[in-house]
Amino acid sequence: MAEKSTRSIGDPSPIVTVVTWAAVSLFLILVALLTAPVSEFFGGSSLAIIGATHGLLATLGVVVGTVASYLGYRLFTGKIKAFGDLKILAAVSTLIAAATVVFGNWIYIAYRAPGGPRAFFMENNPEIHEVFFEFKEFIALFPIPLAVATTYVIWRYGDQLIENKALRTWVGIAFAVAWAGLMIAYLLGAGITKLRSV
Amino acid sequence: MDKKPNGAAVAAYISAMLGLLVMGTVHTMTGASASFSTWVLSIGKLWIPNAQGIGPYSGKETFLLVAWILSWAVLHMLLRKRDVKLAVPVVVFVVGMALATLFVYTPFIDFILGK
Repeated sequence: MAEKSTRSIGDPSPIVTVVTWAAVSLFLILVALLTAPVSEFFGGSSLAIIGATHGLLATLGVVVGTVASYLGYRLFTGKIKAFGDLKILAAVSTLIAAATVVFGNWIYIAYRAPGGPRAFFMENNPEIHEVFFEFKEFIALFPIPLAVATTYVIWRYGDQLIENKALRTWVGIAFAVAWAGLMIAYLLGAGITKLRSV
Repeated sequence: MDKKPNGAAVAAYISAMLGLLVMGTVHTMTGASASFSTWVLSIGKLWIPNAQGIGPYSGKETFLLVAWILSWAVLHMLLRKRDVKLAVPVVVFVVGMALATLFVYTPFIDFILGK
């Protein structure tokens, strides 16, 4: 039997709930921006905002990518119910991954600049750059083509994927590889930034 | 609704793997030759703003993009109307991805270059 709506007059609708939540959040953010020393928090680097944007996008990418990968796992097992959500999240993950790399390229200039983190690592502990950072900068690119291909496959085949075990298995593998790349890049990036930031 | 042939999906995934494998191969080759590394940087300079600042990485990104998009276009044209058994392409994809990963891992590169 279909679930009967129990909302009565006076209950908040989903739209009212979301708008209220957004308004209160924006108010609190505004208060924080006006009262907290935000510029001190970002640091004095000329690329502080770019670096912060790269970090925020990477964090958002990990969150959205993890949710999308979970739905990808549900597709892999043939038990997905939120296929529409998967289509949207796969596309959003792709865009976030690409934007993160664009901002990463930007701060990579500061990383490589004379006196920058690379010079510091090469002088004090070359393996940090040669093994960990080198791997991080390339593995961070892996999710982009995989996410684009996966988004394309999900949108092209739609509901047919659910019935196609072989293809949905491949989609599941791609999700797993892309998510691993995302996590490795994120964790190495956070670790290297902790040792020496731009 | 008619069942769509899986060839387009094969093209999408194999081309993604090829792009990453080409990037890894180019990265490994730049470790072997300084002049090749300079040439790779010159490729990046063709279109990436401030490519000098990020060095040969710009060229390696370019090789990734070009190999990926070109191979996708070619494979899509060849496979889009075909329904293929997925066992072989999936194995090729997984092995290719593993190699692409190793080719951007410095200890492995040093091992194959005898450093």
